[in-house]
Amino acid sequence: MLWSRWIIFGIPATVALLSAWSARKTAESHAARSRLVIASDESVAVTLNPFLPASEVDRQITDLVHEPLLKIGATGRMEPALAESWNWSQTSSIWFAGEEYAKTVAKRLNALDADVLRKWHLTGVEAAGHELRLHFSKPGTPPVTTLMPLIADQGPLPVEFIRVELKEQAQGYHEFFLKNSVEREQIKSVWFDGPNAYELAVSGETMKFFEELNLFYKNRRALQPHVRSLRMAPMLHRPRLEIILRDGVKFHDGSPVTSDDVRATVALVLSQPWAVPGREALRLLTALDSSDPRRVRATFNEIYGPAITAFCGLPILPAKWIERHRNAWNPANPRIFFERPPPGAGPAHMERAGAGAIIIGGGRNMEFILNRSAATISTGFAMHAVDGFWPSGKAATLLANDRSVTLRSGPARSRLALLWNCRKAPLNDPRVRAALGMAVNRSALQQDLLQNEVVIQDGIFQQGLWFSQNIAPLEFDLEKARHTLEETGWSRKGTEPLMKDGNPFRIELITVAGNSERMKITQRLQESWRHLGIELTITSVPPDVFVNGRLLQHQFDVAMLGLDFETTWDQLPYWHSSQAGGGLNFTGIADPTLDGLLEELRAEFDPERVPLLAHDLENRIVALHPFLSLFSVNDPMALRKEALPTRMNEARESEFTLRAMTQPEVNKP
Amino acid sequence: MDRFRPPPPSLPLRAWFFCVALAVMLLLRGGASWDEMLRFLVGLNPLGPDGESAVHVLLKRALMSFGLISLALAIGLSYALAGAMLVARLGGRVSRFSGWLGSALAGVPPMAWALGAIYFLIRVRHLSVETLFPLLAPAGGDSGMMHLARVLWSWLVPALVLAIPVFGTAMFSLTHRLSALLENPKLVELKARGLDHSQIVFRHLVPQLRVHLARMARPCAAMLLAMAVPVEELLGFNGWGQFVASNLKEPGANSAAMASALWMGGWMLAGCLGWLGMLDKKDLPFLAEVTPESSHGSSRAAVLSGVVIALALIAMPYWTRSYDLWPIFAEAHATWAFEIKRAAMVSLGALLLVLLCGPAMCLMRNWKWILNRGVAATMNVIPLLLALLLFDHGAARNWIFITIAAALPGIAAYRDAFRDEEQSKLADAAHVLGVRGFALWWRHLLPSALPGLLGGAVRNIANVMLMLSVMDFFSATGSASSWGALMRVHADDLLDDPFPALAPAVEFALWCVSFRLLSWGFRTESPRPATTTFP
Repeated sequence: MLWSRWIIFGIPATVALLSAWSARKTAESHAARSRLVIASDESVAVTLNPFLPASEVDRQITDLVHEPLLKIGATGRMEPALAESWNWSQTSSIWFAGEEYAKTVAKRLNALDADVLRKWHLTGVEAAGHELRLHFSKPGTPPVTTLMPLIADQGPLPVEFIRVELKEQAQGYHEFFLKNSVEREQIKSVWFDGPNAYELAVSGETMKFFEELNLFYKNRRALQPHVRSLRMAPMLHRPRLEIILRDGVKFHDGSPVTSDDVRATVALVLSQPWAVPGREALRLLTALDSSDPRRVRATFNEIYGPAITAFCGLPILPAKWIERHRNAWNPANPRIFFERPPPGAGPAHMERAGAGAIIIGGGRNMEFILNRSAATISTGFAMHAVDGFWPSGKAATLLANDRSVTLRSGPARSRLALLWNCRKAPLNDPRVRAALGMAVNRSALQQDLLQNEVVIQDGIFQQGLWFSQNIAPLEFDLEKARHTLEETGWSRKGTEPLMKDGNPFRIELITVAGNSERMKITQRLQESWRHLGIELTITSVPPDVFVNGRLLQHQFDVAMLGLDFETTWDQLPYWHSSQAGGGLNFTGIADPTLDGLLEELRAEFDPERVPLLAHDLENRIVALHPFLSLFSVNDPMALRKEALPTRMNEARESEFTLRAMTQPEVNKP
Repeated sequence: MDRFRPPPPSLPLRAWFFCVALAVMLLLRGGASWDEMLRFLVGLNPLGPDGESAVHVLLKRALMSFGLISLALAIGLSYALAGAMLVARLGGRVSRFSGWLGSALAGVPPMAWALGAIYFLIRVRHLSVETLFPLLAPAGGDSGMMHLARVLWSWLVPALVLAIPVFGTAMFSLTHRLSALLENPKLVELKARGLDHSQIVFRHLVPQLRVHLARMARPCAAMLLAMAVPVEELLGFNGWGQFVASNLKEPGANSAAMASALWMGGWMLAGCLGWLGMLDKKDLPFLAEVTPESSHGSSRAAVLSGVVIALALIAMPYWTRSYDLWPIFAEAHATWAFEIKRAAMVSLGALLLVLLCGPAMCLMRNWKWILNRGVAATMNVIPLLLALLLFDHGAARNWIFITIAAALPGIAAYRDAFRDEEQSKLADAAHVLGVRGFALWWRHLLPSALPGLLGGAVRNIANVMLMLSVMDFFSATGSASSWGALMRVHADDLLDDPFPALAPAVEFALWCVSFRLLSWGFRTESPRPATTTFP
């Protein structure tokens, strides 16, 4: 009888005691956890590709593990990372019909007053055969107007730039042409733009050369050659960037960071179809000299001021690792960075990368937990098993009221914008474009549809960068919009449509198909503009049709487009009139003042002068209203306040990174 | 009369065979070749596209789930036994109330228990649910005891959640049973021998209760197997249930994966039935051999209570407003009519099916193998499991499966009643008078069985509601049109606002209690109200 009592009441009692003990010990175990746990949603793709981060997890891990040559610092300025310092110089070449002409000009220039040479930043003049080389200490367009009179009488030959595009790999055909060409001496420089295209700088009797080249490819119709002259210039400029690497910096595998690693990294990026920021600038490289392990010498084929930004944020990987996995770079193996993560030179190192979790060591240990549902992550956060995650809009709104949680985000990385077709009536009038912008209540859209995930921000540059400015957002004012439209001749009677010369105001908005969130926004826009009597038709088109069939052909009135912010200050591809015909200037805006500002900014190498020019440019663009920035998108991270180092409590938004959290807490006793 | 008859010793094998047969049927429906089927039965080769359905892959998951279910059964039954013993001392009313409270606990959908547990542990007690976010302690940074505690806690939480419905079912049954035993006039004989209350209970009643418990636990094991699916999914327990749940969530689930799951489910069920069989003792002590039925409260009071609860639920919009409760229940209450209607329709369908089986049984009375005890007992344990594993998003055949599943316990009970009645003196008399076959069924068996069948049908509404809530939970696609779907849709916001997810469960449980109380009005011994998969 006694034993049955013990069993009947003993088992429940034992279960109760074991439950209490295990619960208590588990709580203690969690309290003793030192690792920072960050969780990410199952919808978030994690590739660990440091060049092409697919998510915020990728970005943060890249920031922790890898180190670029230069980076954007907490103040928003470019700062050295692996690089110790950098400097620019430039060599400009002029060709003459005879060697004696080059020598005469060299002698003449060397005889100039030292003050004049200093003013021109001309550090050396050298005659090499038919070529006169001018060495400048500062890159940029040389003072042609003052320089040319000194050499004009010697008959300098212009440089013609020719571009050849083939269906097949171009290198072999070019080498074959070079072997057999009669006019090959005229070729002064060759630059390969990808495997199927190259550009030649030729000087001399360029007509003959062009004919010979045309003839060469005319006989090779199967290559579908496209040979064209791009432009002519008085000289060939070769800006050169020299980056000196910090001494003693090593990768996590113990190997030192050398210029050869930089060369291999750049070669890897250029060989892949990755849309790496700054890739266009890297394509302008004609040579990357890594003969000195501590010095990287990059020569560009044209004057391009923001070229240095191509190295800003570009993670450097070990050349040995790249070489070892050179056969792994194919679409069939997109997870190579996951399966064999490369060693980096950042403050943290990757301890383990698995499908469910990535563990980062060094400084403060971190664990990234992947592929969890939003509900599970919220649960983990609530039970203190997760220290940080990227909440959805709704969850972020709720967490914003939680005193134990802080929402942190870096500067916005992308934006959603409406591009107006500035070439097509009725939107070819900037006042009409401004009126349409004023009729959109972006604050209401932000609150109703996108909660805390977005910020309203006008302007063309990423906020937080040293050359960006705070542009006052275009305010929502329906009455003002109505008056502005009336001024332009658009009037409305009662609830009738907005009319001008008997024609209703009817426009079409195109957006990419399959994005429900954008569709909701377009419907709100439709509603907003209906208040003005504007009839908006919404058309959703597949992505390839959207770009190739509509934007590039300017076949739209309004286009909703997501755009990434870049570190570069070059905005020429997007707004210059020369880019409107088949280029990225989808709006088709053409303004001489704007063109001048864009060209000037593109040629600017000095980061200190960039803000001045960038502000002028931004003000001009904002005044022309070629687009309306709806929102800039940022991914706020919900962090437990107790996990945040004390020093970061007052940190600015733009200063927040997980990397900053890995630094040891100095004030902590 | 012993309400739980001993099942045949071959019940585990029969249950396993039944599941394997269904698995093969699923495979054939999915277009598997005979070769693939043979390999599948051997359990070596994967049939799923990613190999996840491989039986050897599932084996680890199944072992975990088997352990979890066994643990949950042990916890639920032991707590119920201890609870029943304690409340038995407090008198009949307390015992009856505790029994009905247990019944209410068993009427709450398993998802609600899991969600409630998550909310309670995390938000109220500030404890972790280890399975949701297991702590990966750095090497050397964790003591053995800490690790042991975390592992134990990660098992105990889902086991305790699963134990609640078992506890509720067992509590209802045991209080009922114990009341009946304590009212046995033979107790006087024992008291006359000088035995006190404790000695009578522990020496004479406990062995009987243990057997009762073991027999009652068989359908509970099958019920837990089905309930493990939503519970493991919500608690992140990496077992067989989570595997099934991940397949159920996908429309057009991989039939090979589901077949493998069913195959493994058969093994687990057989395992559970096997170890429960060891507790089932054939030689009962003196008092346990024959026990009179207890009234367990008057039928009128039960029906009245059921009516009051139902009316209170229907009138909820009016009376809850005075207590500011309406906003909590508004969304859940909007679908009550829909829920009751479809559950009633299925229950009615199941009743018709049971009735149709009557003439069939008459016709097949000589086919002993069809009407034998084993088939009936097997059918009794698998309804929810069957309905869940054969479920297909939006398919009309779901309703057929659910109706069949809802009818199975009734058919099993009806079969028992049929056999009993046929062997009764009344049947002998009818035989003498020349009444046989269909006429016997129509004139004698059906009229005596009808009240019980109607009671079973009313009780079945609650069972079907539970079944449908689990289906809806997995087929919810954003729009919440049923209680199960509401729980799924609001599960994501549970920790911020638990009421939208838990309010449907409360209303659900109250309706279940109401229907069970109402069924008491039809209470009769024929057909026997044998324990179904649902309490």
